[in-house]
Amino acid sequence: MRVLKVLWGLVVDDLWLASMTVGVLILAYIFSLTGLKSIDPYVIWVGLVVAIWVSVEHQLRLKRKESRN
Amino acid sequence: MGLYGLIPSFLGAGVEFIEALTIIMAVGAVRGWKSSITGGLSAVVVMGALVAIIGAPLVRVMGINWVQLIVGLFMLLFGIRWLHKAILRYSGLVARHNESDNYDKEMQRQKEHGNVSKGLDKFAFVTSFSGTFLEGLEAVFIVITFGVSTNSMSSSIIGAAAALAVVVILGIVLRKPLAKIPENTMKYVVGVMLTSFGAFWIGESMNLSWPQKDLSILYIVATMVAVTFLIVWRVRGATGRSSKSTNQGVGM
Repeated sequence: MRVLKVLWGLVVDDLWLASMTVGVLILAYIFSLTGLKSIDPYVIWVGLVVAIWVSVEHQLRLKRKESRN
Repeated sequence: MGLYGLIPSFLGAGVEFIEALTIIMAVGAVRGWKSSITGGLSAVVVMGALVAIIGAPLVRVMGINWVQLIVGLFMLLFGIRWLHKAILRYSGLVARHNESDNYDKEMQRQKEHGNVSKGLDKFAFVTSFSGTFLEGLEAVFIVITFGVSTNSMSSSIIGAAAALAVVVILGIVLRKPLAKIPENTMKYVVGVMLTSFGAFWIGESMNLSWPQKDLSILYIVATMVAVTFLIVWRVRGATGRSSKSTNQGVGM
């Protein structure tokens, strides 16, 4: 159990970030099934940027909330 | 020599070995060097065995789609985690890693444990072993994933071995935690590379047609670096931090 916890900790630190990243990949896969293969790489490319940006913004919001309290 | 395997392995393993060195030094200073170094070395041997047992067979099956998907997914999730953390540190949203503070805390913890046993001190051995192993697990991860994805496991292993040698030599010469090494920058570089390679391999497993094939990795790298500058600038502006108030960072 502890080993699984350690392995999980290696890849998931921020659940939001990990979920969004996996979501982007699922979206890219769906696009690839619909035959829109030419836009799939861009879905991953842009999706990763959005995932990082959104998760940093989330941390910023939390930090602001902390400083107000 | 596969530089794509060697450089990130050197940097990624180096950062983890620096953190392990801090633990070993703190334990050694309080509870004795024999137990501390034995624990650390034992962990390194176990990590080497893991790389050999997992890495070697994985290289042979990397051509299979689902293997590419799993390796790519792990690279991407691990890499984006390091990248994210490094950006938070550059922005000032999270405190920078401080080896001197960690050293002091670990020393205190060792002192509080009680008397030192004669011969091999069990607590010291276990602390050194577990600390080195847990830090080294990330290094093992980096070595295997880069070695497998660049089809150059030997370069990846050489990178990690070189990092170990450098850290050990610096530890012996300086006799204190390596607090001045730009750890955040090293983690950032490895994070960007892992994210880029991971995304590329996942795309390959889905049979995506990346524009200009392998060059896409460089485009993703360039995008991540550009986005980092934008995010850090945006957050510092939002929190009212000037670039002079934060230390470290390459041009940030």
